[in-house]
Amino acid sequence: MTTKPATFTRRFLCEFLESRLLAGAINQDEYHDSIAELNTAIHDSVSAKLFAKSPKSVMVPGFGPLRIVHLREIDGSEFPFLQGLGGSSSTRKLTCFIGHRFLPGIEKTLRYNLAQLLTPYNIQLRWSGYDLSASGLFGDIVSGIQNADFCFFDNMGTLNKPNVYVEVGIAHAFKKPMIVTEYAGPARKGTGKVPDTGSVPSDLQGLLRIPYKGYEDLFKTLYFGLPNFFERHSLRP
Amino acid sequence: MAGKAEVVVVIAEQAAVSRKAPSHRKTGEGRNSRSKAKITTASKNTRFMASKDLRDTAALRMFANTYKKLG
Repeated sequence: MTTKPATFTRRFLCEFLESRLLAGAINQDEYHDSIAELNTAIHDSVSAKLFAKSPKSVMVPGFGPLRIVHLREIDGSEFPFLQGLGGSSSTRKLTCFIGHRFLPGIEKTLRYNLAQLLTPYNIQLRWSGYDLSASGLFGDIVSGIQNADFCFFDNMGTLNKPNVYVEVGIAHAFKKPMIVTEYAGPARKGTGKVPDTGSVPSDLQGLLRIPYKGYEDLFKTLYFGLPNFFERHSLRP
Repeated sequence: MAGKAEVVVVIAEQAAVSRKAPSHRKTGEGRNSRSKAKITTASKNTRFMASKDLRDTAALRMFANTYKKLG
């Protein structure tokens, strides 16, 4: 990593504050005051400790455990990510149904990142199986979505395998809260010059989607948006 | 390329030193000791200010509390 731990922590918290401002969770004055305070703070001791202990958590007195975890980018490279960890294991377990293309590259990165990001918050991940090709699998997917508290769907690599949109439709019919992420970057390595991700079909354009070009941006948007998503759908108090 | 403010922040962090911050005071009247002319003293003064530790900031408090509630 080329960025200094202290610089990383400050930038990460600045982006967090901006997302809280845009979500209406804090007002403009609180945002500017917090940014000014953040810019005059010395970040060295906490940041260095977080990186040195990663992926173990560091107990910051008064705040609970924090940790740095290294997530994976689309090309397999790693990037650091700051997590605040849950204070209690007594919260209700939530199940998240996850649908995406089952390609080795996506499984090793997207799946890994989702597991790192969501499981500390008592969220159980349920994968959609394979590309809907096996017989009997469709029923499994329908019941998986029906029994989930919320769903996550990613459209990367779905140009000629649009099954994930079928799953989006099922979740929509069951009125499940869902997060749909849309790859908007260049053609991925190994897929030739032709991109393998099409745009979201017009009937689904009204869905709340997170467009992304890389996983670092996607996972920050996703993570910073989770508190509001849970609150809006009454998934957590 | 990083801006001046960002460079100052990074240097201050690396050296673990406090940064100067402007403080405000009332403008006053003074006199140039050489020419004896009346002058108005500045409203800003630069003082040394003890930097906060990250753990004292509202941003870290807000971040930790937000995700503590998630589970």
